Amino acid sequence: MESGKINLTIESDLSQVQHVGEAVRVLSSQLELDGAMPSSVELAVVEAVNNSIEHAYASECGNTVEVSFEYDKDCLQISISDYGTPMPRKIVEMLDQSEVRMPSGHVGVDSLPESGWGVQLLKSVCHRVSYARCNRKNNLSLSFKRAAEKHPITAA
Amino acid sequence: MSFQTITKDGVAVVTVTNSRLDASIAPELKQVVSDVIEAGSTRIMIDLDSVQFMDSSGLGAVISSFKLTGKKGDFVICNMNESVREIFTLTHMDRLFEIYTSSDEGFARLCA
Repeated sequence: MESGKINLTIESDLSQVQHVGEAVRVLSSQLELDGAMPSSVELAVVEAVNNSIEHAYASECGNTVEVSFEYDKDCLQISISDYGTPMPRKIVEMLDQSEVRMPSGHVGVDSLPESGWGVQLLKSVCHRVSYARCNRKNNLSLSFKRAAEKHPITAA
Repeated sequence: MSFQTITKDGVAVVTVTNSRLDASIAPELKQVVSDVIEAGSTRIMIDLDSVQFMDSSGLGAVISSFKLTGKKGDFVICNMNESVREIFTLTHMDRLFEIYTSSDEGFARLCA
């Protein structure tokens, strides 16, 4: 499979997200991605779709999230699109920062955040992440190099 | 049912029976642990043996459970597969949580 494009559409329901994960695993197998990369790709796509459902659509069912996979021999490009609320400026700025900010090992338990980890995980596992909004459509693009050094999740 | 809870020798073992600890079931984990604490347990082990995939919501639920247990309680995690462990490593949470490779080890720690 040298190059191709696959489009999926799911309803904005968190119980449906696992099906996107299944699709990612099948595609990863077809593309013969290396041992570590499929888990990273699945994590990134799931985080992005969760973000569309929980934040853009405020967990309201009945909306759609589009997931597009486009690949060639060098790169896997995934776009996650919705028609909900724009991504907050603060989050977009976090995506634009080159640095991945995780808490130090010395942070107190009480101050540990229980949410907000998704963006940092996205940045950790993707080669590049970018956001754009056009004609009321939010689009989050995730790029992976098929033989890249940056996909740290270890295979299950 | 995505979770199973048993209490043995004063240790509450919360086993995630679903293969995915994700946003669709993460709130349920918080509630299960909250119920266990309300029932009087202060020593809690989360068993992730069945979990093949975890997202940031799952991580948030584990953090929430840890915080609910509080400073006077004991909280350990066991049986992570490598991809789940990598989430903890990437977020540096492996430095904060007590993580054991088997339920026997985790249980022994809580009974010590």
